[in-house]
Amino acid sequence: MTTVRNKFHELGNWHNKISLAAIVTREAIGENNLTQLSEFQLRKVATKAIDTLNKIEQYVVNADKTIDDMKPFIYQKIAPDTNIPK
Amino acid sequence: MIEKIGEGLTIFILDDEKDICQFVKEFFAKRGFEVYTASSSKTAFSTIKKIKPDIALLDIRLAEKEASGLDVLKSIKEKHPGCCSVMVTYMDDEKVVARAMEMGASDYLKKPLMPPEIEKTINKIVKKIRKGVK
Repeated sequence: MTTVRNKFHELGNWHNKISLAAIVTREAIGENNLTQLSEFQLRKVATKAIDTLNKIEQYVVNADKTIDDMKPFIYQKIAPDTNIPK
Repeated sequence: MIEKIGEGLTIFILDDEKDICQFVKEFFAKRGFEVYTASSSKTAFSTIKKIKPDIALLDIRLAEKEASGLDVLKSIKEKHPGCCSVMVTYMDDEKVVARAMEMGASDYLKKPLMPPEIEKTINKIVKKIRKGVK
């Protein structure tokens, strides 16, 4: 059964993946002195970074979908336009 | 330059989210640790038996119903009492964290796992291991 708790955990997972993916990408680029890398090495670093950025993009899409799934739970309790508890 | 604080140490990561395992693995590998991961308790039991890790990062809540990170902690405490275990939990699992600490966990981290907190907690454990205090 879908519960707001499960959806909240799911959202937490997407958030977690986004933050971890961002930091490992930053470190992967930052730890290399890019001017000293060969073209082959540069391509390898760039390919990996792009791959992780693609993953981040997908995680964001998934997180948005989870937020959409949560809306009925939230808006059942609070009116979306007035912020007044129902 | 990232400090290789984990050189000579083995860390084991249990998380049912394979991508999280992979990112945390990269994070620790850059710090010099030998890193092993598992996405289920079954794989965790066999991997731990094989590698005898110095540190274990265990997600308490797993997708499977049969076991949790607490079962893996129990097994580690019985078979490899020298291993320092850090439990990973959601904010609302405080009673479970208390139970894990009673069972011998060294520390815990709350999800979402943020690199500065992971680093701070693991650094503290590494220092204890290097000093021979656990």
